[in-house]
Amino acid sequence: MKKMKKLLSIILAGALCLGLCACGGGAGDSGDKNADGKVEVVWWTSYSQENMEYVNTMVNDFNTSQDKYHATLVNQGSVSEIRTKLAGTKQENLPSLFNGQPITTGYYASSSFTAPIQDFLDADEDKWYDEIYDVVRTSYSDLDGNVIGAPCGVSCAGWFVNVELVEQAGYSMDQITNFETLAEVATAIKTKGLADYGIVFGANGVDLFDTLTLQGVDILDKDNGYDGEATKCIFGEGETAKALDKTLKIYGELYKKDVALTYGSDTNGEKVPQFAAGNLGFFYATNSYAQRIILRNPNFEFTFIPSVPTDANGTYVGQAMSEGTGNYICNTGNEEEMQGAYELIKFICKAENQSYFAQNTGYVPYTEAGYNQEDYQAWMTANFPAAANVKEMLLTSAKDLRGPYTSIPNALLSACGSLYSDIALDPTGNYSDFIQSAIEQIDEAIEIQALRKQ
Amino acid sequence: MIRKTRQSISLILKILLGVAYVTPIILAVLFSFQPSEEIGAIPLHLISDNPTLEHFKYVLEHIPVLKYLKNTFIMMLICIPCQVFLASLAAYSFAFFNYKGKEFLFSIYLAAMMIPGEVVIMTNYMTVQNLGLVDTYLGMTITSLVGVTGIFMLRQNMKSLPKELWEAAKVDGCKEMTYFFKVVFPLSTPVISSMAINSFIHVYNAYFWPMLVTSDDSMRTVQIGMATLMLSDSSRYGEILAGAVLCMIIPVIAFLIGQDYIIKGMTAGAVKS
Repeated sequence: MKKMKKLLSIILAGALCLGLCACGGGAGDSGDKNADGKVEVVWWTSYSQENMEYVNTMVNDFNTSQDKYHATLVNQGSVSEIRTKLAGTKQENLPSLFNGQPITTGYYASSSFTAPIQDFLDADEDKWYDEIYDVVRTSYSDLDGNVIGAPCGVSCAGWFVNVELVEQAGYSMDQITNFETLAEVATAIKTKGLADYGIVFGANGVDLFDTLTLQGVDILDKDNGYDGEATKCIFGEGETAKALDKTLKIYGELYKKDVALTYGSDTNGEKVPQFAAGNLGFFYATNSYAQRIILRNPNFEFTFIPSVPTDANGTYVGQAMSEGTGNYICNTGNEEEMQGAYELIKFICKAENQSYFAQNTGYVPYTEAGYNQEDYQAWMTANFPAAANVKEMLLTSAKDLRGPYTSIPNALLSACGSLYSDIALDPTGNYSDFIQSAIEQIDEAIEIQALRKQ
Repeated sequence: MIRKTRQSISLILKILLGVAYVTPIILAVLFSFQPSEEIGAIPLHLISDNPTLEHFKYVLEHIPVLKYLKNTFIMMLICIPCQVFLASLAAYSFAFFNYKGKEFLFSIYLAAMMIPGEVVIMTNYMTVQNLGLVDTYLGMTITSLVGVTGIFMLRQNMKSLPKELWEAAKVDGCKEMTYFFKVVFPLSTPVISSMAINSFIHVYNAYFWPMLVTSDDSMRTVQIGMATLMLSDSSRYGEILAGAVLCMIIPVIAFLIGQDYIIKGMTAGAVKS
């Protein structure tokens, strides 16, 4: 009897385990038709809980606006985690669309899991995409001008500036058009005791990447990747070497004089609070951080100016590359589903949705119709007047202004970040060694990518 | 005198180390009760004048904690018994049986311990997809059913058991499996408990693997749910901390209950009798 009981309990436990193991996967997969006969459109996103709420509102509006598709949001961690997952996902398990950044468009364009939006645009009589600002369109296009993705929120990297501190330091905003002057003003803010810190940089090397691009120099050979797949980093060659040398010297001086907030400080936890408390002159970030500064200190007055080239010889003064968050359609092989993904993207790009998303997240609209929405204008006037500067940057930026075209954007940023980090930690060190290490990092990533393609 | 000074220095160092470990946790708890405008205000202050539960309320309203906890517990329900059962059988074999290639096999197990999980995560993901296990509990747990560390710890513990025990059991007519279940298994309780608690913490904290093999929200675990609070575009620090504090409660309770076993388990087999 006792043995029987034991046996029974083992069998029951086993059955429970098996039952549990087999559970799950009940919800409809992307592309399937749900109980209402609508095509399931699954959107992998990287938005945090708070922004997810705004995106979800737009998705719900989409679902009620038509009766052919039903869209569902699924959070898949960060953008890089989505990218990793997509790279290993079989076609039948791919979502309908996913969240990505324009800096990675080159990678998506060459991947098998992305279906270019261009094909859907060509088949659409409504030429809505043409209304998007040129520089934004460029950031979502491949080398041949084919549109790969579409924006959801647009931002530009630049400098948040405490205007009062700049003026107290004896300068005017008009003077800040290059890194040389900017560093001079930041140093004055610190040395005159106006604030604890003059400046803080981004944590991922994006500011160095932007400064060199705006200076008009390439980071990679083959015309920065526009003349074929790049084969090496050219940090040590010609004009790039000169610009890099000058940029790093200016940068290193800021750390030698203890003007800059510690490199690698947390953006939300340290940089934003310091800036919003008036304790920092210049803060490098994308304009979407305006929302967080406003939340932190609604009465704080600040402005936002474009990123600057190294010196007065910079090619793209007052211009900015388009960044932000966008969406790409997955090549699921299911035409109905892919069309559904396209319709959702198009819906999100509607003027009223651009305005809604921008007001809640700090991004900016990317068409005139979006920018001129009454509610956006009212919000902008009350909260972030400098959004007008961002629009101006987007409109005046050269259509061809963009960073290197490469499938290793993260390796580039990481190498630039390491370079800035090395100098911040050891501003009197040997910069040539730091540069050489960055070159090796980038070249290695290029080699690995080339091997993968073989 | 010298001995006392050494002891005092050692105690001070231990206290400092303990404080260094505990400080972030204490800060997280204190800040999670502060209103948003107070968190990160300069200068920082630890105790809020107006403590609030608003961040916890937000987390509980926006994250389906119970649903995610259910999935986490199901994962644990599958992983922990499997790990304990399979590891103890494997360890028993390594400790008590003599067969050709045993040492080689064991060295392969040890080598597997040296391979970081990240290296094989994508190939594992592909395998799980090929097996059709995406969005299933088996897919979520399959890579955690066997733990080499557990096998190693149990083997060391079983090897320290006196051989006379087996001789005596044999004289009493005890069979191999009876000896395993009635003698070896109970005597290995500290190590097994330690292994189970470690496995509990490992499975409870798992983030990337469950996220990789699930796309359906109804299959998500508590860590994935809480992680949505702190993605790069997030600025709600109070909510992030409240989520972290909520996440901490269960493993802390598990640790408090099983801390004696963890220590015993770590040291078991370290000294030969």
